[in-house]
Amino acid sequence: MSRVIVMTSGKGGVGKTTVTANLGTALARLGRSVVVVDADFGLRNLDLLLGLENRVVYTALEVIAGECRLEQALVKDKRTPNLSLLPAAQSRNKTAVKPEQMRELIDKLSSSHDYVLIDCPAGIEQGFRNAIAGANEAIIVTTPELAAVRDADRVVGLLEAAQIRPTRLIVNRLRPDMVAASQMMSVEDVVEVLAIPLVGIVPEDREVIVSTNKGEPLVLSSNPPLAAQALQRIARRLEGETVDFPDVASLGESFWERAKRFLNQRVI
Amino acid sequence: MTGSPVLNPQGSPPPTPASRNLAAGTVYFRSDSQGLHLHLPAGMDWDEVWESLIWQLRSRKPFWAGATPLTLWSQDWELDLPTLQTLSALVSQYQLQLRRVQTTIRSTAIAAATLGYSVEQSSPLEAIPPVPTDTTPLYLRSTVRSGTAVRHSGSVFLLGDLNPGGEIIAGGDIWVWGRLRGVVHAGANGDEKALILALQLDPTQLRIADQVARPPEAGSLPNTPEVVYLQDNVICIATIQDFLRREV
Repeated sequence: MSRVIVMTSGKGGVGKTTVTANLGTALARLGRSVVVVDADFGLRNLDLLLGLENRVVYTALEVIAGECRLEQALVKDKRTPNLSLLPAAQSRNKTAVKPEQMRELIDKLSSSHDYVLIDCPAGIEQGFRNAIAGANEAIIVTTPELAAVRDADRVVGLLEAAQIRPTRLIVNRLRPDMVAASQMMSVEDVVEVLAIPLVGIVPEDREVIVSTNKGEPLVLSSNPPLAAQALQRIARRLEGETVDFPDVASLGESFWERAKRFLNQRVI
Repeated sequence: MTGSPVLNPQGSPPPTPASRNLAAGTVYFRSDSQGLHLHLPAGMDWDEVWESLIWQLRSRKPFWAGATPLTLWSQDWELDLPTLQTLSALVSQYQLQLRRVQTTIRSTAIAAATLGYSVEQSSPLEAIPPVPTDTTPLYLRSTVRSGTAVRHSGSVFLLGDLNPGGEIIAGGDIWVWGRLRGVVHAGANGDEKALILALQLDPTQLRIADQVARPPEAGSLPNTPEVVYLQDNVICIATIQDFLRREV
């Protein structure tokens, strides 16, 4: 039985697509067959992040319309053999697909893959209903900001109503220095409001922007930066492994900063 | 510090008329000797109705006994066979048995009769919309999340948190056995004696009858249950100990 996980958030711009692309890649590198589905019809960008834009021939819409077979629309990722992408159509609007059609499509994909990751559009409109139609698990991506957490809370409620369980949480773009200075919500604050299990904490990382622009998922780099390591840990947790959460304060610190903090603690 | 007005009262009355029907715009359950009655509201999306129905079933489930008969008041909703079947399957997950269907729509009546429910069909003209002015308390066991609004004409007891962005509007008192962080409106029909009680009070906004108050800008929360009440048209907060002493 394959796992169909919808990656969602209430607010846009929290890094949902980046997390989906990297998590898909990380799971594929753990030996699972993974398909990532762009459910954001009208505003596709998962193909960009994976660097597969120039290889998209058909999209999910052509599959639904019966103009091509599902296998034809799937774009295989050469760097990561187990990973494929089902792209969305850019030229059509979000209402071009119905939830039943989406469910049918996802069912077909899940019969031939271990993981189906659905990149859900932000918000709770028709696109959201399409994206969650075939899912049996959900991951909420949020940044530690009031507005993002508020919208995430609404989405958790909608997922509960759609009887999708379990729903897990990724706190993205955390800045440990700002948390330490009480300028940013802490992971505990976020978890306290949303009251769903945490599956990962991803620190803010400049490298994310670089990798997004290059179309090369962060987790593929030979010397994975902190954000990529965090995403790899999330993939292992999804696989059922128990992976400790590193001390949030130490995320993003250099060795010297860590040493300094350690010494300071000892002095006090 | 008994009865000190801790909040900043705001002059403007709440945006909602005091006499409105609290149950309008939500899926509504009421109980009588015949079992439970489910009222479907008019003027909503079916998606919204469905969402609200599931939420209510989930959060109210602990409060009824197994195999309770259910009457569906579907008004002018046009429900086809599959929809009725899905609905029946859904409520049966929560130990409710759909028995009767009331409707003003012929096709719904036919669908319900086909599925073997007893049908009460009233013509749209003579149909008196049941106004659920039920003042029995509403017991909920759930988290009320952002975007969820609970409306009830009696008191509301919530076992769980009220998150920011969530709302409870009650004709009577509001008790939150958890953290109260959203918007609450007690005595929404104009009852100035209505109270708001919470284990931890950190609201977005408080309303009693036609008074509104917002919390002070800063300040740490006392780690003790608190009571909100109306005194001389000012919303006041007291710790539970102080409030009880005042009552005596």
